[in-house]
Amino acid sequence: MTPELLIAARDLTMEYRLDGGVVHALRGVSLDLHRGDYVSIMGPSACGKSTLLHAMGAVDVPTSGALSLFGRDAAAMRDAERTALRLRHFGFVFQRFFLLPMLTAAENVALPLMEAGASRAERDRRVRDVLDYVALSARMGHKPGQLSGGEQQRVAIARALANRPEVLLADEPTGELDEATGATIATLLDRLHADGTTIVLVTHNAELAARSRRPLHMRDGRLLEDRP
Amino acid sequence: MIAFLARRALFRYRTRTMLGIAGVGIAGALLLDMQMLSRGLQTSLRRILRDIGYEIRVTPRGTLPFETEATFSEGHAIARSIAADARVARVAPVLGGTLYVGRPAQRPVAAFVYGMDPPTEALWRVTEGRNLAPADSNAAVVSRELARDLGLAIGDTVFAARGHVAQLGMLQSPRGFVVAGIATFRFDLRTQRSLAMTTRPAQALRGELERDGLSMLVVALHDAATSDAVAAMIRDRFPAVTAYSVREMLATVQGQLAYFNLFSMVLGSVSLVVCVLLVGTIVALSLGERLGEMAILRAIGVRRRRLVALVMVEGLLLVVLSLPIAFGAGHVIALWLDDILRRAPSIPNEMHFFVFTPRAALRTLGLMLAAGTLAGIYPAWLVSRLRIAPTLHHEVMG
Amino acid sequence: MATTLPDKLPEILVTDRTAASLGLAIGDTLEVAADAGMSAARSFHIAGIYRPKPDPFEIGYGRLHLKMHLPDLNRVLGHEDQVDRFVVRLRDPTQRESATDDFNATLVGLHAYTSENLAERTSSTFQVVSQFHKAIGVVSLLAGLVFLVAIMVLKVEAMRRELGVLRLLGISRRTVVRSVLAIATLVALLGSLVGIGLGIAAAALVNPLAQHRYDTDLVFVRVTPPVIALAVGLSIVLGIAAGAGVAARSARAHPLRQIGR
Repeated sequence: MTPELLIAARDLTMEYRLDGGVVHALRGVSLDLHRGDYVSIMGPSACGKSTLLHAMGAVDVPTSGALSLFGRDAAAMRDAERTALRLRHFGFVFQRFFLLPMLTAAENVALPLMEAGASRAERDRRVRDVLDYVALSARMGHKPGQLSGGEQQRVAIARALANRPEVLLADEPTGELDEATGATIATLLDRLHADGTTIVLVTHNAELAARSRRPLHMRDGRLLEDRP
Repeated sequence: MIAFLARRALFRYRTRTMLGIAGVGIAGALLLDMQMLSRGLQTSLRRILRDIGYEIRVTPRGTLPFETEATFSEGHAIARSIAADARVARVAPVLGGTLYVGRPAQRPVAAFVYGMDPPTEALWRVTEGRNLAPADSNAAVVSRELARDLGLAIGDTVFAARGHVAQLGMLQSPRGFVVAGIATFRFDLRTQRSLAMTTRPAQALRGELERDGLSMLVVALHDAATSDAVAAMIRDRFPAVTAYSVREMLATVQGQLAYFNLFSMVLGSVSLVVCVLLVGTIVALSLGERLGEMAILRAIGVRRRRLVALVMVEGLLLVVLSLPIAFGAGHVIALWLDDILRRAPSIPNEMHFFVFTPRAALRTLGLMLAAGTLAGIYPAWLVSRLRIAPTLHHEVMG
Repeated sequence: MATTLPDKLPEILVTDRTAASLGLAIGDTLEVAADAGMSAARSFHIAGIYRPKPDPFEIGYGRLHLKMHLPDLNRVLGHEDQVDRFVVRLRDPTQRESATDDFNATLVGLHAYTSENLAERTSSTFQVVSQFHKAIGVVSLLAGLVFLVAIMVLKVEAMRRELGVLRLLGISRRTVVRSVLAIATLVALLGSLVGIGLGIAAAALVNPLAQHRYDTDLVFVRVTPPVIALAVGLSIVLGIAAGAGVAARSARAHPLRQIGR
């Protein structure tokens, strides 16, 4: 049985109009993402990897092309619908972690739960569970400034998992980390995938990309190969 | 979540937040003071008038009480006629004017005389000795200042006359009065000397006996709600006089406080602008540093309008936190400013310029909250237009 | 109340407000009495209408004024040869002090004042108002100082990375402090210039509005060179005061912490 198609992209283009002219970030990218996929996208800087990730994650709207997210036409969605998708169906992890520095690890993780309207009891329970999952229960009350880079990234992953998203979108999750710490994150991603999370990973790190099930390459806004 | 994030965002940088709160607090204090000033004298006068207890004042046409030394004739007849109205509880005739007052072998001084029937403690409050009785024709109550200047004690005799012979420094046809009491006169100016007696001796001294001239009638009613109607009746029936209910008198006085009205309006507006600018600057600058965080919140699924609300709440929170300083400092500054202004020679002792009222407090609160809301509009607009991907890209690159 | 001008009616002058309020014109006859019952009223011929000099004590009162000869006023009031004061013009004004002393020595029951003396005595209200304005100015300056310090704290925090890099490159603490002070002073100075502009604009707005509202020629707001000089001078002082603490704090911070390491 073919796994459920979560995201279907056809001939996506993304153009940015800047003072110096037009930047073609995506040039006719087509891609399917099924439930349970573990996709990595590699390529040189400014090849459009992050742009593709943002389009798939309903952060940005493609200039043209067809994009279906969980069976819905992305172009037809209003901002509120895209936001709701990001809240409930996607989890984002970024290179720079982007934790709120004035909140503790637990509070950072709780943010998506608060927005989703979870009760206090549910929130507390879920926060403990996901921090436990990333092995950071002991650092719940610490602020990002008191955590190492690897710990911050694990908190960011925990935050991404708070609302049990179907798809985890990770943009250079080990970009700011040393090799050993990066390996820890890679192991965590493997575990997530094994536990049923669909993962799309953008990375420069060939070793990390090799752990994915579908390594993809991009150049100049085009997807070069797709090896299922 | 909004309140939670707003609190955390504000107190992330305590120094700037505390400074912002202090700045908005001081601007708010000035705003409160201007609200107090705008109706302060009027409120102060209202309280005194209510305390005195007469609802209507009748004066020579076109004048306010004791504004001039003008009088109207047949005063007691007018008083009796007004008292016959069923709505009127009692009417007290009053004569006021300048006399010369002295003791033997002493240079006379100018003093203001109040002649009142019956001499209830309405315009003055006896602090030593006793008040005048209705039948007292040879007794007087003197102000503390007059007693001090002439060295008067209870039981002493003081002489009063309308004129004095300048070349000889003597009173002209003086009349003696025994000092029955020493009092505080409610409408006295700082350096004013006053004495009170029953009406007839005052009329005799002021040369008003023949025409029965009076400066004022004060009228007490059974029901204060009828004061406007009774005042209108008096004006219609007696063309030589003007009648003011308390409300009407205050409205007339308010027009004379033009300078303070203008001043309070201008300075109040400036304070409001400062509040808006300070809150807006702090929120906008703070937001500028946190655009990446805002983008992340949007990326993880926080709705646009929630972030807009967050920014607006930050501005309002800054204002709310400054309210204790605004009201506390406002009170202290008001006491100081009031003390300065009350040194003016033409201001009665019991009047105040800055009076705290619920209305002043509510207006200040409303204006400050409005300022906080207005200040948040531009930063909120900025965050509403935030583009997630470029902002995140900038954060990574920057 | 216009009638055929009878012979020998005494003349009076009325203010423009009095004329407008009572519907009077030059040549009209006006009855004046000492009491509202108009008993013993006397008739006068209006010889002229004048605009009185602006008097701050008259603002908002709406009083009606007129001028008449002294004997006429005494007749209206029922007085015999009564005055409130004399005003004396000396042949040699430089002798006013000695003349005043002589008058005070000889005139029992009266007191003489020079114009300067009298101005000083009667200006106590203006002195009080002046003190009031100064007090408001002090409070406004305090608010301005706090505002400026808040802005400088924000500004320096926004620049902390750049300042940290400068320190790492070898720029001295002293230079950093001077730079921050210069920024604070410049912000305060530019702010004061904007404020002076706003003050001039406000005066241009407030004066005609208030003059119209209160029917007076009084100037309520005046921006003068001394006022401008004071504003600029105070702003420089405020800028230095606001910048000093912030600059010292910034200079004390470790450069590595400033760049976020």
